[in-house]
Amino acid sequence: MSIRSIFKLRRTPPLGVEFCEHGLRLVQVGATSDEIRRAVFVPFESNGDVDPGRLRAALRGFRGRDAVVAPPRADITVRPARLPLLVDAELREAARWEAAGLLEIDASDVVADALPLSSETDAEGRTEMLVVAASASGLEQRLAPLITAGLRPIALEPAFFGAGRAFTVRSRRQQEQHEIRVVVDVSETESWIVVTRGDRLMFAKRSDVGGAAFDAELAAGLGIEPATARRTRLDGRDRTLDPEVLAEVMTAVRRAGASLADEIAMAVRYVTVTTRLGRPQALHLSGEAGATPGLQETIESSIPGIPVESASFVEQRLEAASSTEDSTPLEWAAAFGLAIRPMTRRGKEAA
Amino acid sequence: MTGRTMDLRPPAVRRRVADARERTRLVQICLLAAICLSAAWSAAAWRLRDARADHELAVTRADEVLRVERELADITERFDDAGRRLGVWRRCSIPFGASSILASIANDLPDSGTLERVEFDAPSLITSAVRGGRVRSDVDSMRRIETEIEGFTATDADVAVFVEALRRRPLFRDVRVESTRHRSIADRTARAFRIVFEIDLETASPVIATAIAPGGDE
Repeated sequence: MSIRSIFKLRRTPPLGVEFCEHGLRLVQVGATSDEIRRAVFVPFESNGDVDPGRLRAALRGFRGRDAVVAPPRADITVRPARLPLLVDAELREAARWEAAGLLEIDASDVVADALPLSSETDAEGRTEMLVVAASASGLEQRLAPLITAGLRPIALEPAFFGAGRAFTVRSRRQQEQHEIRVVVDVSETESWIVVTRGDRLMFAKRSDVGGAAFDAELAAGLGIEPATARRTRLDGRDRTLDPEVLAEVMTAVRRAGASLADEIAMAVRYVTVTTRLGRPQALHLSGEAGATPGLQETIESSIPGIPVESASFVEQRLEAASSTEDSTPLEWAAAFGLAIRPMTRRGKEAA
Repeated sequence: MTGRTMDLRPPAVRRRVADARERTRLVQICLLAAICLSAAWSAAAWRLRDARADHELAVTRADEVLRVERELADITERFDDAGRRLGVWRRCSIPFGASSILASIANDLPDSGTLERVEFDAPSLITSAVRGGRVRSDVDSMRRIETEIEGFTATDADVAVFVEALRRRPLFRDVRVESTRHRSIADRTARAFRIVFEIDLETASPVIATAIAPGGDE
């Protein structure tokens, strides 16, 4: 420990707040490490809204009220576009107008940002980018109960940003800036394919395949209700099912996940060609349905040469969060990634 | 957009968060100012208490000094008054025991003798230097009384006996016969005399007598 580090003022880390299918996941890491010091799940009300009083009660025990929030995945739209290679506010403004045109909505109600995929420009000075957009009024409506409960959203990021960041927590050093990883965040209703290089997010793509698609396939295959199929799939995560049932689950997942695997393969090829980064070293699964049995094998078969592996360092940290609820550690990856968002200067952040 | 972070907050939320942060900062500054003011107030109160204690001590000492000065002035005034009274007394009193000296002289007088006049003159006690003037160094600083006796005896031998008797007195110095002459009193002859001597008041002083050892050493 250096003398400078002793006298360095440490900011209280923000809370990572993720809107998931059934509630809010709140995570906060320690001020001096990436270990989770508190994690709480706050379920939605029966009408799907956040109860500010319940959230306020859940915030007891957290330090500070700054929060990095991920809105529901369905609120975010990601489209590829060719935009001038601008920076900061100018790029956001260009992305906003581009998103308004692509989504055919009023530009005054759009918030957008753009993720450059390459630094090379065409003859018109444009480059390939991913435009990430959302409705401003919709986001304000989402954030209103959080602000009422006392949270101060210092940033609003898509959940896939958090998921990608969670697996790049060990890739911040200079010599690790060329490591390419693929993170597939599989939620109940959809999946996000995220490609990272070092600690930077390079590409993101949405897929309609999620846990619900696996349940539907399993229900159709076994002739059972979707709710029962979901329960069976969740039990399969712990490998507590009969081998025959487990085999049925894996078969259903293989059938439903084939399209996801194809999209992953396409994304890997697209990134490899567009960004000329080379092949990814590893693929990580996260999200509520990320531990579904059979999914890993399905994906591995579509991207030969890229191992689907678990990041023990990350999962070790996520274990602390999952112990608070009947959940798997991978479900907390996005919230954990939001909580470890790099600190930026406040003035710069406000801009 | 750096690829590391993204911020999709709507402008209204940004403003709201910025306002909340400013409010928090304002509260923190106010809190800090209140703490500083409290500390300054406490320090000032502590120093004021000390200053008041010092002031009370100084007032007490000043009162004491004034009281002592008043006492000193009173004592000085009393001393001056005593000095004035002593001066007056000195002016109006004989500075030695005349009766005892007269008794000594009368005891030494022969049976045939008669004293007609005894005169004591004390110029060394009365004369003092004029302020600003020079004091003559040859003036005898010894306190003494010049005495002159006139009378008569039957014979010159009685005068001689009388003079010898006076010379034996330790207080009388430089006893000498100024003159003797024939005198007729009721058809009988007698010898009139005038004797002069000095009385040494330094030797006569009881204080000096005890301070001087019998052998003459101090």
